Amino acid sequence: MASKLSVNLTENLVIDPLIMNASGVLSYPANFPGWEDYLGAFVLKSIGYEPRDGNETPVYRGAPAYTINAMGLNNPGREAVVRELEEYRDHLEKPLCASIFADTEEGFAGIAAELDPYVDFFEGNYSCPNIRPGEETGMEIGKDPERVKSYVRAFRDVSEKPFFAKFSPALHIYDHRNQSDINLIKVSESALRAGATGICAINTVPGGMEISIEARQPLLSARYGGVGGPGIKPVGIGAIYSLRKNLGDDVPLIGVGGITYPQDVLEYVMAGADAVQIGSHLRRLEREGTIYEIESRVETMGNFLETIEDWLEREGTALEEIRGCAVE
Amino acid sequence: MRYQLKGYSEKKKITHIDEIGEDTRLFTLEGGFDAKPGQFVMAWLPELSEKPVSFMAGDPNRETKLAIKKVPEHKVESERPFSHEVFKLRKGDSMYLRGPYGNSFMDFPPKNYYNGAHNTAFLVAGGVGAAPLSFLSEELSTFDYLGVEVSFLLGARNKAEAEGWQEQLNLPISVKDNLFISTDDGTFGKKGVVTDLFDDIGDVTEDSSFYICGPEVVLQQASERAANYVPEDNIILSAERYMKCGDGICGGCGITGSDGVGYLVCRDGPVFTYAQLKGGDLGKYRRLKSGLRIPIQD
Repeated sequence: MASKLSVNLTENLVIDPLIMNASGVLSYPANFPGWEDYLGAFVLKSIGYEPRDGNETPVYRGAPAYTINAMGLNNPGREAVVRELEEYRDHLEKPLCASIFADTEEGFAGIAAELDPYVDFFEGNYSCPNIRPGEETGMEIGKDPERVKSYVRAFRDVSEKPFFAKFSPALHIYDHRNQSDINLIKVSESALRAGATGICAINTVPGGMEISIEARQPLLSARYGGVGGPGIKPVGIGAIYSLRKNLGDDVPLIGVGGITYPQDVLEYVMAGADAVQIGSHLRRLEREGTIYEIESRVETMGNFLETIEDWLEREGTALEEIRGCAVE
Repeated sequence: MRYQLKGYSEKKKITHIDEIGEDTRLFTLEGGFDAKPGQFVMAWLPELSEKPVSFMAGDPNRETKLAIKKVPEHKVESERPFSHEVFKLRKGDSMYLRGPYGNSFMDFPPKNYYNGAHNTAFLVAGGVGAAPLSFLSEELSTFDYLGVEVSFLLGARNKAEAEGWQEQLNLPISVKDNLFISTDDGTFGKKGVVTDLFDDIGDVTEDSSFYICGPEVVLQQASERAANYVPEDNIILSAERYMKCGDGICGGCGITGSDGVGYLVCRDGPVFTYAQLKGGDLGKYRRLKSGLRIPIQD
């Protein structure tokens, strides 16, 4: 029976509850069992054509107001992910999303084709900032409407499953009024015209840096990293609002970026999101049934979801009623 | 406090270095961490890498102690392994430490001793696993745990390592009387592995607890052996997996537990009960840097 927090992301794709993990958090199929009661779908870490170690540690820092990471697209490669899915797919009782990245259209389609039988929908990673210098993937693709078009078309050649193009906040920040040729709206329209089902926004804010005053040098081995966490939420909200306003009522939108409190989920929905993802803050949310308390966990997933339900009940409304209601 | 929200790496000078055998070193550093036994720091050597290390001592008013074992050549997985580079440090050099992270052995205290029942805690250490268990033995010897008798089982490779640990372990006197040592080559104590010491520990009641730390094979075998004596909830072990973020985000340290539940060693652990892990990845699977899940070869 669908809960009050259930949404239809597409006609056939029910996300219940409407919250997923963001790509790169939890990451691998074997890590998801135990989260079925709390997440409406499981999103895999971005998968590349070949295995990739990613950056040397330190790759992350968490602070109260933000997180910064430069993981570097570490992933076991498409073949190993398929093997792990073969073992785990039946244990995962929720829709599964594969995030994929590549630096050629053929590679992109190749990964998609192999994963297609095992997953329910896809995320195109056109927004990762933690790519190697000169590497033509992630956010390098996302800033070019023509490239976005060719990559989405390549995907559609091999798969009919729902596909969400995930874009960088850099595009929205650069031109949030949609006045130039390159901005979040232009690349989103290009993706949709090429066959994408919907848009996912935002990825981390690129170009961030943490300097360790103790060591007097940048902390991350890659120097720059993507910024997430509470601090970026307003950017994500602005991006989703802009997408809903410019793309109209029918395009499915996944809102992500800085969700920390239950109310933030409602904020994203009112800005126009159909479903949402939580990344950074998932490290602070506890699954029920742990046999001890951990002080770092600020909330249980159960309380988090109940708070959203309580609000809807108090207001006498439902998710589909408030979706996009703040957009004029 | 179990977990401090500060996420930045603090510069801690090395004040002393002790050798334990040929391939283990005990670093004493400036203190100031409020850690509980079982917790870990992410130790950063700039321009190299950042790795999790368990506290051997981590009190706000005491120096920090970290024991690091050199990964053997045939098991090394990077060009400049952290455990090799760290051996180049000298007194006066610094490590940058952030933490403490993870849960603690104290989340799983010995059972029922407060009811006046005499209770035994068996601390089973494989090699460098002795470090966090030494920390635990100090805690279990405090007034709060009156009624708990602590025995310490140490498996070392050879005499040099056994004697090195014997000297460095800060065992309370009562625990020193209950110290059992084995060496792989028989040059000190009993010849064999640490689980062979189970033959010598005397009576084990159902209320006893086992706290196990060491290489994966020790976690696996000692847990299985202990399960002959006590319920699986009384068997507590410190798991270890490759970590990238150390803070419960990236999923790289994932370990599958019993019933297929997914755990992250850095956030749901590193301390688990055998009941949580039995039948899962323990002793069987681990992930590499790329996230590739591979069978454990020992």
